[in-house]
Amino acid sequence: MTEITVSDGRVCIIKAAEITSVKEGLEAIKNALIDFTTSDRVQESNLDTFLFVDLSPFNIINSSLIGIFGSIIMDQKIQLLGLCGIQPAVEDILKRFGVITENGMGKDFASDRIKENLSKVLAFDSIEDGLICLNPA
Amino acid sequence: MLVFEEKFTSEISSIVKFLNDFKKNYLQTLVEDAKLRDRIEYVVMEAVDNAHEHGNKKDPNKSIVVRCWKEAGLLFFSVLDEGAGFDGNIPPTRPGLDNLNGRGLVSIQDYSHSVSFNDKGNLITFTFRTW
Repeated sequence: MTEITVSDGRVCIIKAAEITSVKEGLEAIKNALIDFTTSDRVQESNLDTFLFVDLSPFNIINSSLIGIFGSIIMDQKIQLLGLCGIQPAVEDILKRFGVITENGMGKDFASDRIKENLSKVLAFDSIEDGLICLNPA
Repeated sequence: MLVFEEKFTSEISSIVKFLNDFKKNYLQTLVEDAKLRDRIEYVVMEAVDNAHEHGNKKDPNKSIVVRCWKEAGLLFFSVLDEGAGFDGNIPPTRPGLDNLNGRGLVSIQDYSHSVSFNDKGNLITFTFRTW
């Protein structure tokens, strides 16, 4: 249901392989995010972790996924949360809960503790665009 | 006018089936505007998730009932669970990102035209303007 690709323990790409229903796809993405971010290879590693999530198959997301994004944003082991292929209603939900702003970055009116971490959230048109930012050359 | 009434067990597979059927069989024909369709789909999913997780405490022996009806340019939805109920007070502010939960009801209120609860607090009713 979800495809998780991890290279060198640093870059993780999570995408729903086949979406037959929004709810099922969101559950799969949520479970994959929890499994990966709480795993030893992230929490016990001394390397920075860059995480890309493909949201392109979803016309909507749910509030529990926003909660998981919040945990990831506050996780010191994660250096970048790239949200890719965001559709209009998903963008509205993400903005409403302060995950991204108009320019696709973290909300600037958040509390200091949250603000310190929000710069790690970036929106990309696609996973490929996100990966390019890691290696602009 | 009643559009549908669906009863299903409080299990992920039943919820997935209901949401799929709702989107395919009703939402496409009930609402022309794609933006409003997304909002309704989101709110119905949140309300059903709340009923399953907080109302029925994920007990598969309990059920969820979703009703939809049309009246005077409004589309009404109600979601009933078999839980102990909720006090009906929706938090006045959105939770910060350091909170895992607490966004469901706030966003239901944000996206719908009106929200109300029965006295027991196990039946939520919300409406959307369809014109």
